[in-house]
Order: sequence, then structure tokens, then C-alpha cells
Amino acid sequence: MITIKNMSFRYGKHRMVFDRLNMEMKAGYIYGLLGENGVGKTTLLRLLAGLRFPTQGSVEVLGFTPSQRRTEFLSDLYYLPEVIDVVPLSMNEYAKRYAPFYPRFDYEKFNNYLEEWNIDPAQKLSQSSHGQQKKAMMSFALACNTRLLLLDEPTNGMDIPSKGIFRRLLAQASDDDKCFVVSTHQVRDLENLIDPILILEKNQVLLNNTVEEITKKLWFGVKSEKSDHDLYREECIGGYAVVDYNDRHEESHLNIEMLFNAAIQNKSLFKRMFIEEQRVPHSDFSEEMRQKLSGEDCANKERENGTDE
Amino acid sequence: MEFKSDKAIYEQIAEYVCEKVLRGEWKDEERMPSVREFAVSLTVNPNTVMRAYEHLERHGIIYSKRGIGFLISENSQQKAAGLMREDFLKSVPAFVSRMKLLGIDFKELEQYA
Amino acid sequence: MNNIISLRRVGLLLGNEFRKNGKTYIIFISILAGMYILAGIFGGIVGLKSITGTQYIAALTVLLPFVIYKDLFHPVKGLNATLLPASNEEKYLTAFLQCAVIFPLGMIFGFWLLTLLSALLTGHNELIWNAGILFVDRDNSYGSFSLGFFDSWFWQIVACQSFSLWAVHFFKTKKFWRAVLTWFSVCFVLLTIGSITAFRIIMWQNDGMGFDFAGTTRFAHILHIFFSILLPIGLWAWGYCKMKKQQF
Repeated sequence: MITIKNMSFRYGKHRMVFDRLNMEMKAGYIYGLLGENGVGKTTLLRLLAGLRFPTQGSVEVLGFTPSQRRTEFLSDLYYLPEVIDVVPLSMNEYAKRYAPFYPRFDYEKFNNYLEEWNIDPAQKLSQSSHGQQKKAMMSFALACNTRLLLLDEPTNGMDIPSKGIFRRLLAQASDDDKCFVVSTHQVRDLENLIDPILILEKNQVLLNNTVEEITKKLWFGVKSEKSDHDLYREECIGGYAVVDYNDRHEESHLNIEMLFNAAIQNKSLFKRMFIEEQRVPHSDFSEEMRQKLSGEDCANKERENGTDE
Repeated sequence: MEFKSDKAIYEQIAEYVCEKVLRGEWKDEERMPSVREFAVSLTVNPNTVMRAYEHLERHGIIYSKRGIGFLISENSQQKAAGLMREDFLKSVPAFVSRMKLLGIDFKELEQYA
Repeated sequence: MNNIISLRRVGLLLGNEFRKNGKTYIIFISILAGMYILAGIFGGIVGLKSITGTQYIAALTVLLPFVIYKDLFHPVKGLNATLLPASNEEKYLTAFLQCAVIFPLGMIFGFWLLTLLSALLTGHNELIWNAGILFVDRDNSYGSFSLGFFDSWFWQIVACQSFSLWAVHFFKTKKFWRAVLTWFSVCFVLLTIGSITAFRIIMWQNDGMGFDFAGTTRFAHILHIFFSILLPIGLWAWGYCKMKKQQF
């Protein structure tokens, strides 16, 4: 769904944000986009949306070049920025004006989302609280039913129950033909939902892997003693909470915050382990599922058939 | 759903299914929810549910049928018990070492039986 | 081609624009109506006859883009406008239709109605504005060099507005808006005095300097075409290209 080849992006002449980036994102997944402040998360989302043009290289989204801003492309994409345009319109009016531009807009779902979040569709956005505005626009974004949904800090400003509702609605909205990219600092709000995880660093990507791939290589847990081997370590009750190499081939519960800290502390290592090494690129979610669950025999048969052709 | 932090989520989901099977809430040849349906009800990523289903399928507790989805296998209760035993026994070494650390004797445990 | 410009989408865009800019239109019409009514109150029938509306409609038409497109570079509003699923062509066409066609025609029609109303109320039929002459060749002195419609008052005002439609895509600072206001005031003065085409100024100069008649008229002819047709089309095209490349 998204293919980035050798893409470089610079602000002005000196502020390099991405340097020959290569990356792929597939349909059927909810990507978590993490990174320190100022590292380029929002810029990446904007490059995907065609709001910014790469300085070099190419970005291909849904088969289109985003910078061309073709109607077919724009109608299958929704970008919800961190700061919302607070218009003096009620959500009913807003939908009346803008929903017709999205051919897959689902009015039933829209009203359902507004109800879940307790938003009065007749109240003007400019007269609602920040949290309400956020939820109202999120309802619209989800109801557009676009194949690509880009969310920049979606839970910022949401109260605790609303965050839970958001998790549920996001999970519900997810589908085999859709791709969600969620940029966030509030990883706990999205724990267990985001998979694969993308960690951005200055000019580079440190990680673009599924939870399964990560937990096969790294181990997360508590150890009673520290070791030089640890990739990241925090003191805790019972000893140390660590991120370590998964030498025992034991799958542990991935702790995203610890993972992030480990990545930042071991940038080149992560890059080598997860980005640069040879790995079979994964496909869309539905294809992956079919391959995994039809068993190895079927997968082998398919490969044989492939070579016959 | 709230998950514990000491075990991989997909394992915990598999455990959840085993419990349902052992309690008789989910019976043999009954249809399981689809990967996405289940993911929504647990608010986890479908990848994770897919791994749980893979795990369960490998241990013979469920099987997939094209066009229908996943179904609980025959003798699922036996197999579920087997899987959960395996898992439970994995946690024993840590338990035992703690016992040793605190100087607790196996005889003391009998009162809990 | 039908996927790049869909009349349905342009219609939707225009509808949204009118809903968004409704207040501005009402204010503009009120200014015009206000001037007319004041002229009537203080000048009677003679006063009403002196206001032809052309200067005010011209000034408001040229000013319009600056008023309604002040958010083109707004970090959030501009972003949303860019991401709205419509092609660049449709969006620019909407801007063009709104500013260069619908607004001025609407104002002309509105003012004409106003004069009609005042004629009905006062019984002085000569008050009714002959708006038709706005669309034809303005001056017979062009002779065989007349460009027909492109020499009309209407086209010339729309051509002046092309500068505004171009400028809103290039400038976003406060200094610029101050410059705009100054420029606008100068234009207003020029409009109330007379024609502003450079062609006329050059013609006058050349006549005064006594150049070769055939040479000056050819040069003047070229300038005439340049300022009347090429320049506005160039500015519209340039503004469109800039709009397509705007990043957020």
C-alpha cells in the first residue's frame, strides 16, 4: 500500500529529516509510529498525504504519487492532524458539507461513533471542549472509511473512558484492505493494538517490524541481576526490568516503552538487527494469514507452482 | 481486556480460549469468532489473535476450515488441559527457586491442597 | 477528463464556498446598497443617477480574493483545503468561477435590481441601470484593433482581479496585506478617475511624442493584447501552478 524508495526530505537547505529512506507499509495492519520529538513523525505522515513533497526519491501510496493530489487518491485517504480546525459548524453541518467528497463515507457509523462518545451532532465545534472536538473529528475520520488513515496523536486530549472507546472503535474499523498509521507518544493508550511498530530516529528508521519479529529477537522481563549484555535496564522491584537479546528463544510480553528506550540507546544495533539484515518482506495481512494458517505444506505447494509458471 | 505483563499476549489469549474450553463454555465443533471479530472484542491487534490461533491450531485445540473459519477440535478439553499443564509447569522453576530463597518446605504446601 | 473535473464536485465546492463566504457577500452588497441609498438620501434623483455602481463593483471585485482567501496558508485550514478530495483543477476552477464570474455577475445583477427598485419607487425609469454596456467593447477609438468582449469593462475588471487571484497564492505576511490595502486604494482612485490600461497611457504618450503612426499603433496593439488578454491568463495560470505546489 505504501512504498518509499530512497526518499530524502529536507526543510530548506540544511535541515535534513530523512536520508535515503526505504520503507514499506502493507494493508490490513495498524502501524504505530514512534519517535522522539522533532524526529519527523508528522513530516512522514505529511509526505504520505502529499502535503509535503520529497526532495529526492519516491513515495508511492495506494498506487499514486501523493504530491499529485489526484482526487481518487485524496478520497481514499484521511489525515487527522494533531491540531484540529475548529470550525463554527455542528457535526451535522460538517458532514453535510464534507462527507459527499468521500465516496465510502458511512453515515450510520458516523452517528454511531458520535453517540458512543456522547457528542451532540447539533452543537458547534467551536463551542465544544478540546476533547469533544477531537472525538468529533475522529468520528468523521473513521466514518470516511478510507483505505489509508493517518492519525497524529489521536488520544491527546481525550479523557480516560474516551481512550477506551477509541481503542475499541479503531479495532472495529480495522480491516484487511485498510492501513492505519498512528503517530503517538502515548504508547500505553495504544498498547496491544499497534502492530507493526515503527521507530523513527533522526534521518533514519530504527525499527519497522511486527511484535512477533521483535519478541523473537528481544526478550522483555525482570531479572534479578544486571549484565553488560542488557540492551536497556531499569531498576524495579525484584531486580531489574530489562530488554535483552532473546537467547533462550522465549517469547515475552513486549513492553513498548522499554522497547523504545532500548532502541534509542542502541540505535545502530537496532538498525542492523531489524532494518538492514536480510528478511523476507511481509505481505498484506490477509495474505499473511492465508499463508500461515494453511500450513507449511500448502506454502510449499504454492512456491512450487510459482516456479512452474 | 486487561493483560498481564509477564507473558506474551498471544499466549494469554490462547490460555483464555483453553479456559473457555475447559469450562465447557466453548464446545467441540463449535465455530470460533473470526480473527478480526475476536481482536475487536479483546481490543488487541489482529496479528496477535492470529498468532494465538496458530498456537492453538498447532496444539490441536482448534482447526481451520476453508470458507467457515476456525472450529474447536474434537477432544479439545483434553488438548487444552495438556497445553495449560505445559504452560503451568513452565512457571514452576521460578516458584521453586523462590521457595528455596524463603526457606519454605514442600511439606508446608500440603495445607493448601 | 471527467475524473479530473466533475461538475458535481465543482458544484459541491462552490456550495461550500458560498456557505463559508456568505457573510462577506452580504457585507459587500450592503456597502454597495448603502452607497446608493445614501446618494439617494443626500442627492435625490440626481444623486441616484450619479452612482453607476461600476466603480464600487470594480473595487469590490478586485478586493474579493484578498478577503476570502486569507487562509490559504493557514497551517490547519490550508491543510484541510488541500486534502479535500477534489482535483487541483476543480479547486482552482471553483476559485475562478466564484471570484471572476459569479461574484461580479451577482453584484451587477444585484445593483441592477436596486436601480430597478428605485425606478419603480420613484417612477423615474431612467434610473434603471443599463448594465448591458459593461459587456461590450468600451471605446470606439480602438477601431479595427478592437478585441470585442476583451475590451469590455467586465473583462477588464476581471483581468485586474487576476492580479489578486495570483497574489493570494504568493504572499502571506502582514506587510503584504498592508501593501494590498494601499494598492487597492490607489486602484480605487484610478478607477473613479478613468481607465487604467497601460495601453491608454502609452497611446497618450506616443501621441505626444509624435512617433511614426504605424509603428506606435502596432506596438500599442501588442501592448493592448498583452495587458488585456495575455497578462490575466498568465497570472491565472501562474497562480494555479503555485497552488498545486503549496506544501504544508
